[in-house]
Amino acid sequence: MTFAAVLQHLQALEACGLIRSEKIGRVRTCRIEPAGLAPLADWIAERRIPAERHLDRLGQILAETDQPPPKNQNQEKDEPQ
Amino acid sequence: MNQSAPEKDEHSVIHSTFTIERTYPQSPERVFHAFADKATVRRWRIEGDGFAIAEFSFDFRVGGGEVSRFSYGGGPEVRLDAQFQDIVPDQRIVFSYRMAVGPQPMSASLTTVELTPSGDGTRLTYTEQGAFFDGVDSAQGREEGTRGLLEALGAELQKSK
Repeated sequence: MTFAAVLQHLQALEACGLIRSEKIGRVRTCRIEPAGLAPLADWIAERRIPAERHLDRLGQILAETDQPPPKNQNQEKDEPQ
Repeated sequence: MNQSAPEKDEHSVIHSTFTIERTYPQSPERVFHAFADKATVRRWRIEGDGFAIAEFSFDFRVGGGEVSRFSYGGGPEVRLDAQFQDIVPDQRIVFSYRMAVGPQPMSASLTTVELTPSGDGTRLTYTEQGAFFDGVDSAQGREEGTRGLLEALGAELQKSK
């Protein structure tokens, strides 16, 4: 990877607000900007949480509609069976 | 491209992907049916969130889609427009969807639901890839959404006691 390529990547990250950089003399120091990730976290939460809830409710409804309701394995959703 | 960190009123777009996995004790056929049958979909995905449902149309075939309109606590109407892109019975469902709150577009997503046999049950993998539009990250909207979620969660926990 060339220096120019590294610089281009860092500029892209900075443009997105994910990092901040500061140049002192000949040295440019980059640091991660945690707040830059907040919109991403918001997006994921807004989509992921309802989707998680829906899939849990799907599990409940599947269990309810089992003809003879098996009582042994309805609860554990992540148990490999 | 963005010139700075995305903020509320800027025209920005965020791309993101997330994956959720679940294992159900029922067969892939049963789980698939729960995604394909309108009445069943309505039960697990549309009702029970505490939303007032204004519309729910559902046409499960490639090229067909879903339109859902609902609101929460007198808030703005949320509209979901979905289209099925790929359906492999008992194995895979791919749909795209757009969400808007009132006149404000929120996001466009592509969701893939994969069903694989796991013992006597089914492993479900839900992958959503999305573009999240500008201006929707308002604290008010998020607070309303979160409150709705928490109240729905509380109601669900009460029921399952």
